[in-house]
Amino acid sequence: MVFSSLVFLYFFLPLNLIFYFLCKNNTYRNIILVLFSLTFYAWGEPVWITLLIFSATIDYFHGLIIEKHRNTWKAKAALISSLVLNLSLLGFFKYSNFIAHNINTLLGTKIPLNNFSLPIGISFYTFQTISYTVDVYRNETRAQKSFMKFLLFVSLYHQLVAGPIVRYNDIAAEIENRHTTVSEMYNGINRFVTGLGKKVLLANTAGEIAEPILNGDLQQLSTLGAWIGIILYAFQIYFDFSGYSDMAIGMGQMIGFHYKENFNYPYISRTVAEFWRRWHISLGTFFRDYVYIPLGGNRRHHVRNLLIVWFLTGLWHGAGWNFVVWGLFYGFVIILEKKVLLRLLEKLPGFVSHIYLLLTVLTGWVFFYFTDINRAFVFLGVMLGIKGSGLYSVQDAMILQNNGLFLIIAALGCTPVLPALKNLVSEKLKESRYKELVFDVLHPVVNLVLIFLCTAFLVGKTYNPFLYFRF
Amino acid sequence: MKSKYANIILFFVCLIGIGTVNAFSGDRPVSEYENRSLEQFPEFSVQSLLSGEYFRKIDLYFSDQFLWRDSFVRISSAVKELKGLPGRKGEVVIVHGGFNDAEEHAAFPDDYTPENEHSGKNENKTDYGSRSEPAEGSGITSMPEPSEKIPEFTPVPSEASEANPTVEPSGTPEPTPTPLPEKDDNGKRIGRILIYNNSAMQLFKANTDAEKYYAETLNGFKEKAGEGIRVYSLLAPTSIEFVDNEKYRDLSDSQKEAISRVYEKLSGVIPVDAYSKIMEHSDEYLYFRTDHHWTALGAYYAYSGFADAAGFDAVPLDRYETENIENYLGSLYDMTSSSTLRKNPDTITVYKPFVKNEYSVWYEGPVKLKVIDMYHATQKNKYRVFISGDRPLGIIKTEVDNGRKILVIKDSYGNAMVPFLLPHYEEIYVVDPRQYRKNIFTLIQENEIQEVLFLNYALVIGDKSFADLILKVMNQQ
Repeated sequence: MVFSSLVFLYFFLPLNLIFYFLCKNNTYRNIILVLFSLTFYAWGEPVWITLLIFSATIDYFHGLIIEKHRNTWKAKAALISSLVLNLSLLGFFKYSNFIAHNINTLLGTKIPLNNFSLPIGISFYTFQTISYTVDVYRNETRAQKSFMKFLLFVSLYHQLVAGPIVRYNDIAAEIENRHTTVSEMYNGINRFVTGLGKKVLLANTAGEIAEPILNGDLQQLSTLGAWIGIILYAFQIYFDFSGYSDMAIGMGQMIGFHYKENFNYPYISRTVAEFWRRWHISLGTFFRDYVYIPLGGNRRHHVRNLLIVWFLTGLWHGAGWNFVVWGLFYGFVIILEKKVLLRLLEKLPGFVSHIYLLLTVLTGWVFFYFTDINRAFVFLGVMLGIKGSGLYSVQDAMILQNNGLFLIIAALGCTPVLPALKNLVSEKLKESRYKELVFDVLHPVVNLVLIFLCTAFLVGKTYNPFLYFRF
Repeated sequence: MKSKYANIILFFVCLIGIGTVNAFSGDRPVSEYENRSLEQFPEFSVQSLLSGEYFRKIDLYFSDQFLWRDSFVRISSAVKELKGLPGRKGEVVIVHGGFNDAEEHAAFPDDYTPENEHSGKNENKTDYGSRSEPAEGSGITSMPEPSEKIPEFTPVPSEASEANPTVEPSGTPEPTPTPLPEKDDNGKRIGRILIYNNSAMQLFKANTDAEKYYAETLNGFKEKAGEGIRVYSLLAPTSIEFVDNEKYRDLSDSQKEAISRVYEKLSGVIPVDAYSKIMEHSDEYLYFRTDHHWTALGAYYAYSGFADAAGFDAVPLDRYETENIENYLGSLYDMTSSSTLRKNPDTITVYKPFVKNEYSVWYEGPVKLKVIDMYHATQKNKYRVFISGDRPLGIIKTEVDNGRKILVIKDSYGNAMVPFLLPHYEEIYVVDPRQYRKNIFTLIQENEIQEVLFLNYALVIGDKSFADLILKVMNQQ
């Protein structure tokens, strides 16, 4: 199931919240959450739900073993065993075809490919369980004694399929005991609805406009068209991903979970290093804490460590060479920044730095989007005006004209202009006793309008008149 | 603090309230607005559960049966129209096929809805898979089973490019076959529509491979039909070809060139020049603004081109009594939901046949209908007034006693032109290859048909699917 669906909004979520708040006892609430989470997962993956439970079982027991035999070789063995099992599962389901395909191409062998579909969310929950086992081993957290509670951590539907990657440590206390306050419920609702709007109104619309441009015939694409296409894709992926994180954080808040922020206006960054501190933060910190620092961080083999981390970051996003290229591209740019670029950029005016960042990120998205690397290079060629049908076409002008307002709204949505506006209003009203009231009226109105529009868009997406159109 | 409750209460009331009302509101079998049947709650089976099909169907069911679905669809398209900058003139709308691929349903007549019982019960018991046996005493020529096997025909790549590649002009590379624009990577159907000057027009993408394939299919048909049968091909240009603004005209490939490329490749098949006749009158109301079809007037000019090729004089238009049907919003409006189009609906003018005739449509048996069927003037799809829409086989017998018999193999463009043929033929057979499931040569032989007209709009030479349908009725056992 996805958050941005009618079934979720008008069936799953209200039902979950009703049952949740009907129970007063934390144990029952946890049970309710687990049951709903498993249903949520089974909705898209009725078979691989077994894998999720299997994975959770493994890590549950490994955690117990590590804690019981702390500081002995058994703990270390259990840690290694857990890592091997988790990474093997991820490797088998996500990367085996990729590896087999590459070996087949390289050596001319005929290793048969499997035709399993990739279990949804496996990349996320595998990383969550790995972080748990490692943290228990490092004695940074206590092992969870209750399987129910551990399963809740692994399967919680808020972050199960699209992150953020929540560390056990962050919510360990809240699994045991948590409360919903009025103001957190209030904020959680706002956050959830904002995320829903980002996903349904902005990401989906950007995707609809971008798709025919990016999937069309590149020979006939103009330079301007290519730029419009990739900028729209940048909007789509940001609003999609951060919208999902917003919804997860908001739903967590509604019932007393506090997940860490996952996005912080990445597109306003000035350097790539800053971009990655603002983009998919939970993934960046995962790689920092569990790969980069254990490898030696910046103390020894710095460049090697960076390249490993960025290779893995790329590969984590998908089993394809284009993702590896995308990851390594960032690795190289970050090394370059550390060695030369940062000093140079500091001397230049801020907007130059900002343009540099945006150009780098857009180039990155080209590799991210096109799973066919050749096509990615052709597309870059069109962007540079070397390939394609010229600098400009009638269709580009029409796309700009017909989506101008949307493009402006989307661009503003990537910047913290709305929070700034809110601050400004609350500054102005500081002395007024109506300050809270203004927001408390404004929020529900905005929320209802957004929900209404999202519902219309979600229904509209399935509008499908039957036509004898083709002939 | 108390004022914070409003937000919380409204949120819950909204989700729970709409969710509850939605759960208890009844299901509709059919959407008139979308002209299709709606997803019903799926039947449970372990297999469909494990494959994920069950939950997917519930998702579809949920959105198809969602509360106030039609209104929400209208609202979303109205809101989406706001995303542009002021002062725009033209707009290209890219239309994606939704979840329910229309092609799957194309085997059914598009009026196959429970409430549609106007023209005899037989019609609603359509079963295209079964053989059609005529009802006794119907007075219509029977169609026996094929008596002899006809060898299969499939078009082969032209000899020039296969056997003797050097024939190709060196230096100028042949246009590479581009991926068909009609399908994107996910196999979803895509159509590109230009909305300009209150009119919606389908954009055309030329495909030289498909053009060759179409021409060879017709050549193969002629070869198999034999010397005694005259075969014509009429390709009708569509509205985008005559848009008065050069800038927008360039969005679409030239149909004039594409049609003549097909015509040049025909051998033994007589090309019909409808293009220049339509061109001469291009400032008249030849195409609907909200529908992808031509008007009867557009069809008339094409018919006058056909009259030249077939060797008879076209009947002047003023010989016909006319009737107007107002407020027609056609397929392109349905696809785009454009408010510009909604504000400018079309008028259909029908030219009433003056020749006495008997028209029957064949499913399991004959169903008597009218060549101009005014029943449809009150329905949603009003273009179906012409020969009552697309049918597998229609047979018109006229009082014209000249022994001429023609078979028209057509898409829906043919529907508006067929009525003009009445004064010239004793028998007219109309076959829609999308629906016809029998061998076409058997029909020709059994009824001693002497002329065959392929009558399609130019978009059929943009990909191979229509030619494949023609091949299917040629090779049908």
